[in-house]
Amino acid sequence: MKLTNIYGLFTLASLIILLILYIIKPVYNKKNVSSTYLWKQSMQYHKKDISISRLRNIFIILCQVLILTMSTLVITMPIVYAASSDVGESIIILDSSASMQAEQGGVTRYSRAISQIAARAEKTINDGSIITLIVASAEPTILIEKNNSYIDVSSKLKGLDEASTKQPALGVSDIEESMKLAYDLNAENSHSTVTLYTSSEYANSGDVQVVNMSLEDEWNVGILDFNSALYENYYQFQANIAMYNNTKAVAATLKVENINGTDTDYDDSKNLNLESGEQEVILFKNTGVYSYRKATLTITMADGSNDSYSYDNIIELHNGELEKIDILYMSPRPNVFMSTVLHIIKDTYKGVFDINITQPLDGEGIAGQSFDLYIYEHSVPTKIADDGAVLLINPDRIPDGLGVKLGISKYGNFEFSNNGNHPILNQINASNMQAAEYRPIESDDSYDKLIYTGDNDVFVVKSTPTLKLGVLSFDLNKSNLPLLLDFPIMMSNTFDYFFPQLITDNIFEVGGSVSVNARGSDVKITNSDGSIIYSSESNFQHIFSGVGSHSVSQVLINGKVQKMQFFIRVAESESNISKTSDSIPGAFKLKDRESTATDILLYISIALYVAVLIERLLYASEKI
Amino acid sequence: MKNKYLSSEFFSLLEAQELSLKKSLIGNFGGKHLTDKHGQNVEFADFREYQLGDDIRRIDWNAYSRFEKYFIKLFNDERQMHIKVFVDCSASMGADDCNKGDYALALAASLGFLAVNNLDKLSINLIKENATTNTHGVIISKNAFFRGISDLDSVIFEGDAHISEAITKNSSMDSAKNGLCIIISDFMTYNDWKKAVDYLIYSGGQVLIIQVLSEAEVTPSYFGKTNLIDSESLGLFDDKNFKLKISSRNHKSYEKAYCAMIDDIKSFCVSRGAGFVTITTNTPIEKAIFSEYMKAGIL
Repeated sequence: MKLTNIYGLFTLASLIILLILYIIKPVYNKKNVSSTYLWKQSMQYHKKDISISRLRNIFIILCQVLILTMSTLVITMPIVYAASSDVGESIIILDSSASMQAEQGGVTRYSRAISQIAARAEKTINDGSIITLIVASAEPTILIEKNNSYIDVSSKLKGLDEASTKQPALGVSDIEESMKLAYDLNAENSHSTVTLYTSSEYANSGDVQVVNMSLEDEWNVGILDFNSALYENYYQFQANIAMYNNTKAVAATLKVENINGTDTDYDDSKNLNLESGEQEVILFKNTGVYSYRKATLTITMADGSNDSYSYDNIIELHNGELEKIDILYMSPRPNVFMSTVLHIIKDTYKGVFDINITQPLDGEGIAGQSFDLYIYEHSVPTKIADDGAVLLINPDRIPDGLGVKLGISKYGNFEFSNNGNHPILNQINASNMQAAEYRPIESDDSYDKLIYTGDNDVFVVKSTPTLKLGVLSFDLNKSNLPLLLDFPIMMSNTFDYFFPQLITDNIFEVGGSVSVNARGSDVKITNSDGSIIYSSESNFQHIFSGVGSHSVSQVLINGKVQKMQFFIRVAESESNISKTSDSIPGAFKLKDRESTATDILLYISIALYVAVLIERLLYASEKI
Repeated sequence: MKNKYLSSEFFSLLEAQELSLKKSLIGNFGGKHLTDKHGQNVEFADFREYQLGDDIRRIDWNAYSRFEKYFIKLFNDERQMHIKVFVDCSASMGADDCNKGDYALALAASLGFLAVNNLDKLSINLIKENATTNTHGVIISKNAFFRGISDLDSVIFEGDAHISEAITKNSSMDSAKNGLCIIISDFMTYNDWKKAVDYLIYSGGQVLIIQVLSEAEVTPSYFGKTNLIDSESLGLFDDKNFKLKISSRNHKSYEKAYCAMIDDIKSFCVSRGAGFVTITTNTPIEKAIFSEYMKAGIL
């Protein structure tokens, strides 16, 4: 045991003070009595309680000694080494971030690190020590724990190398969490050492031995960012290209496929000279492209050489063409508020959907035409469409078989209320809404009841892969709803509810979580070769481990298959294959943990003091 | 008079009272106590046939005229009782925190007055260490009584009192036959005082135990770390003294010990046919006499 603050032992002097206090404790009050006969006789009745009393007194002394000892421990901060301290242990952290996949001569840093670890393990085990290996991925794991069998260790390292060759780890690594694991193991064994195999250089590595796997002639040029944006109705493409550890002439080539709804491609390229550590933003403008299916940016060296890290040399952008949503709004008495709201929605989602609104005076002009959203106001056809979402506003009737019925009209001044937390009611306060007339809705349990008055529902919705139906059973003209801000918000929420974005972006990083919001069925994710990676019937999240193009598809209510493509890239931070940092993440955490431990000791001491105080109060209450 | 309990008003209250005995009396003639013995008194007791040697003057001729037999009249005899009072004069009776000594002397004086007022004999014996001291011998008149009790003021309560040794060694067995022996003490002693009682009862006398305690002894009110100094101790380090952390639990134990002591004395007295009275000094002495004495059957 080592005392961090040896002067804290002076606190033990308080034990002597305690002892003196017990010796010179207040003297007994002298009391002259005629006879002590009865007091002595009373002792035989008191005897049986004496042992308890003595125990209590011993307990008090014990508590006080304990407190002083605790105080001493708090001040001296002793470090106790574990019993296993006589066995040496080599704790190895293997950085498995994407930058470790930089290669030279066909061998990656990762493979070289595994080879070195194997050699180290052999030597360590031969010296009679044990090996622990932590793989520092996004979620660090202990692959080998306190193992003294080289065969075992070698086998696991070989498996790690093979897995990396098959599927290289291209994510980021949580070095801080790995350090925590290492320090926890280190605390158990004072003879352990911590070694980090990484591709970064640390100015201050503390007690951790850092083995930098980067080689001097490794270099990388990478695309840090690539995006497209509409400028004066035409797309511009912008990229950020960086060079690390070399100076080269680089050619950036852009290929945009299926532009403007045709099979035509757009090609362009830019040459740039980059020095080590330099970044340059390039812009491809005046492309004449207002829609495209896929845009690919590739960088190559003018001298035909290859950099050490190829995963950031190409990036693709997908879905420059927006998904079309056709909306039908049919009403014998069209509502200007409704028309306005639909145009607001169209404008709001113009970067996501290409919304087309059809507003016929009657149904004749649209016979046989298919829509994604049907809005019927006042008059409902005998058979409603089943190839899209349907919203009925103040319907005169509801066709049978939908699980919803209308009651007879009610007249008066009705105030409405929200029912629960539904996405459509987000930011909506139904208590602001009033109507002079409504029809109660009777619906089965498959419907979500959103707004009600009294015991009657006035707005219900249902969304399944086969039926998407909303019923609002009051006339907008006899309500204050169109005048409220809640109206456009509620309609926008309804649109969101029926038409969620399948994926919210078209480019993601390895290790990042991708949320898929399905509105149809048979949702699948496939990679560039068409093999299915994941499938589901509803919403899900997926984490990708490999780079490249992927696609997600779903079967819509009208039977059509909607497919969207996206690209998985390595993290921008991993392009810098020769990173230099001040210190290893997690070193600060170690400090914090020590501080936390001190705090806990303090709290324990305080608790003990309080316990003794309570005991003294109880003692006093006995009038002893 | 120093003793606050003894006054002329107090003694005037006792004028109409007399002591009674449960046992037959074989004392001297001249007293006022009727006995089961036949004598020359005027109080008729019974008839008996004349026997040879009887005084012919005592033949009842009226009975002879009716029965033609000689009968003589028998009359109850009156004897003089000897009241012997033993007072514990140890230091515990005279401790500063109580007035047990004065109270005990007042009780002794009251019993003495009752004795001499009924033409009985009285002797007051002060118990100190292993001996009894009879300061005024046998008192048979009120004048002698009042002279005697005036000297009781000078009694000093000190040292120990070995009741057993003092009574058995220094008391005459013959005198015990003639009446009532009264022991007044706090009985908070390791001495085997029961031997003295047995001795007196064996001698043929009637015994009354009067225990005098102070209020502080019955219900002590002090708490905390206390060095209890016994008034009979010879110094601070005497075994009779001891230190104690007095808690409510100790008080309960003390109460148990007190009850056990009373029960022990009471059961012993019952087994021996002796009377027992326990009195605390905060009880007015008149009440002690007229209430407690009557309960004990000596008034």
